[in-house]
Amino acid sequence: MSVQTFNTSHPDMIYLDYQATTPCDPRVVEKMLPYFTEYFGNPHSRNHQFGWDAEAAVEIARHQVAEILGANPKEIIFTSGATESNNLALKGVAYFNQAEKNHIITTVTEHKCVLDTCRHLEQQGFDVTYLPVKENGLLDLKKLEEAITEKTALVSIMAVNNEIGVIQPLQEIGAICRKKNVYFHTDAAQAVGKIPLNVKEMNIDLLSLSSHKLYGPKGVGVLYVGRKPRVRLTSQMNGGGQERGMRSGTLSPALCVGLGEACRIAQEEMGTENTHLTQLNRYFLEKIEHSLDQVYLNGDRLQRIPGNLNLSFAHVEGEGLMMAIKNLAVSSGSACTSESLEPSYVLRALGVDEGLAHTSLRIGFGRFTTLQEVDKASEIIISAVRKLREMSPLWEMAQRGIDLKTINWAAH
Amino acid sequence: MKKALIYLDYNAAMPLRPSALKEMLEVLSLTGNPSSIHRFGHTLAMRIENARHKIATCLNSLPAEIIFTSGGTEANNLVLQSHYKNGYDILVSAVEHDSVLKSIENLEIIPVNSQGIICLENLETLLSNKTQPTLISVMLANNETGVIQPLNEIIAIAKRHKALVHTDAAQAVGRVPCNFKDLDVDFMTLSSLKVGGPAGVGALIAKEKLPLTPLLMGGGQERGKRAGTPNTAGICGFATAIIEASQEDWHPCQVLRDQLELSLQHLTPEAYIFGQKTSRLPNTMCISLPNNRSDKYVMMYDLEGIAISAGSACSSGKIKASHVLKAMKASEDYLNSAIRVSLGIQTTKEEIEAFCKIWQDMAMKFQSSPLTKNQNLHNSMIVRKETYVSADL
Repeated sequence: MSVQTFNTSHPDMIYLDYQATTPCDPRVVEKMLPYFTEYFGNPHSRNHQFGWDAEAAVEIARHQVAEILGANPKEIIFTSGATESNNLALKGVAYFNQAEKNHIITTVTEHKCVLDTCRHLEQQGFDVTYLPVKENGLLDLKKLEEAITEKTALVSIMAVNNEIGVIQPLQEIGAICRKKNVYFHTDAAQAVGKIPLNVKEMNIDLLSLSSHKLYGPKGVGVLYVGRKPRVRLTSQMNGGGQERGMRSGTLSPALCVGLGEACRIAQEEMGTENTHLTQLNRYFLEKIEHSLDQVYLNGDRLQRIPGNLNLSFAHVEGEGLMMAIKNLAVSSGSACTSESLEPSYVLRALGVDEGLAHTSLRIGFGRFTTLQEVDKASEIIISAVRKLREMSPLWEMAQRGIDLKTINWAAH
Repeated sequence: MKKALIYLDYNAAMPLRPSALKEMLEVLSLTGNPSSIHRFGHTLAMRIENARHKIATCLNSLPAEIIFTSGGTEANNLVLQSHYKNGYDILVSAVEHDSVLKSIENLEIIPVNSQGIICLENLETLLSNKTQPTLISVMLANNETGVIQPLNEIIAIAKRHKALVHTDAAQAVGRVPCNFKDLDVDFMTLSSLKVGGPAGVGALIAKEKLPLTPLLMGGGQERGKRAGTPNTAGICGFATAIIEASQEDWHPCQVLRDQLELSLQHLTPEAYIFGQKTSRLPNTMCISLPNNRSDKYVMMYDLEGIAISAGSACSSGKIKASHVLKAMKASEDYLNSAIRVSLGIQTTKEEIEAFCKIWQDMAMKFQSSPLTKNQNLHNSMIVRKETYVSADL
């Protein structure tokens, strides 16, 4: 692996927030460089060498992206990121099919940009069903099947959850959607490069991908739009008619090349990387569970990506915990909503009680995480939790066998 | 790239400025999501706020008025679609970029005169008949002809009728003075690519009190007006580029462009330069040698290693007649023969001479063919003495 230049700004900190974003792989940056300098043409300039060089680079990148998804390059639409892709998939399919179908199905644990777009569509008169998930974060397929009506245009279910890392049964969902003849969109921002994906085998009609979640640069993403069966959608950004009219705007060859290279590396190294991550994950979890009582892993224990752990620590105070481990860059939920003190809606959807939801940590391992870092991080968390519990009257009561839920707190 | 090429298509894309690249590489080496609350996130959030501040200073707006987008197209779509959804009538000039003209289905077109300037009387009449709230979108400078709109007058008319004004300043920023506050427009579109910053970034400057319905919904970034993890490196590169661009002296470039025009008109007096009688960007020339097809020109120039274009760089490969020139009522002969030459600040006299040389060779070649029949018809049109005046902004 090449030089790790990404962590130089905070050498005293350990980065364990790989679901928020991943470092841009130095190999990716290297590939991007010539497209910042030598090949600066506008890829849509169709009548000179500068434009052709830029266009050729974009097309190679399109192939690389198609490859990791098992798609045809013609089905790849470059966007500015997964948020734009998700917006385009949902609104695009909804508006295009408005005349015949006005129903969309999704789950309560989707990324905020899917939920927000769905809420917007509801205001525009569409019906949206928000399916609950089971306690392990996974979708109940029977519920999905029951929810589909002849008015359903689209089912949108994320591949891997950004907070708890669980993998939804894509193959099965795809089969149901195909059988019922509705389009299947999956937000695969957290999944691409982490689990094997094949849009044809899984019957995925639309798929959103983010570059900066797979060691590529920020500012670029993809919406895969299947051609068999052909998915048609209303574009949300109009103008020059780029990307087969589905998404106007000048593409950045450098960003596309970066994303393409990121996909190539991810595909090539997924196997070894997952082995590495599984090791880290096991080591960390065993150490934590061995040293601390009442730690709860949120989300399914098995059907998950190895690069994520979402843990709740009973009887510690959430903010105190974050303060005590301030040398660890972890989060208590998704990055977008991290400024809010509300407990995660994902954990609440799993039925995690409010107290535990408040003390959850999302720990993300990735390509550049070392065993030493994981070891150190676990030490820090263990000592922080112990210290906080020592100070906590609640912990003391719990130790004495008092069920805290039965206490009738006096109002102030 | 094959041989030493001459690039004269700066309106399509500018090479990335080395200072912007340096900034970007530095930011690319930093990990973190600017929305995260830990130090990795915070560091990047600070970088973005610095960039926002730089751009605000540069254009004399408030930092909070800047909404970063993925480019000019998104910024245009954001402002037009938002107002359309909120019940506004939308008036746009006939020479706008496609990202304005195609952003929504129902818009009214303000015609332009033969020099590409919007008809102010027409605008006034259109506005007088309005009962709905109205948004006017007029670009500061045109991407194909370089023609600069009399925005001050447009804004004065708009104010009288209480209409909002948006201007697409993508091609203008860095080439003519742009001052958001003094100009007193309500919305302004910027594109990073056109000021020598990276592609894939742009901004909409929006007066703070004016509501906007976001185009992209989600994590609530950019004060809820544009969701999505921001392109941090791109934004920082954009800020560096725009600062550098705003400090450049374009006068030498304009002198070069004017010399080029004089030479070409001397070589081929029947050639017509669009918008030549009005103020234009210092670097842009849109010229037409009647009855010589643009694609042929562009191709021949490419074979000689000179990159020019036949209009805007977007969409499909086919060269189709420009809607901008059509709106300027160019006749068929001129419409299909137009090419755009756009200079950069680094363009040299030698490069311009190389361009003229090829022009001359081609003109000689075509002289034997009956293509130059209406020799004297347009001589009257190309009397030109004025120099470049800044846009009275």
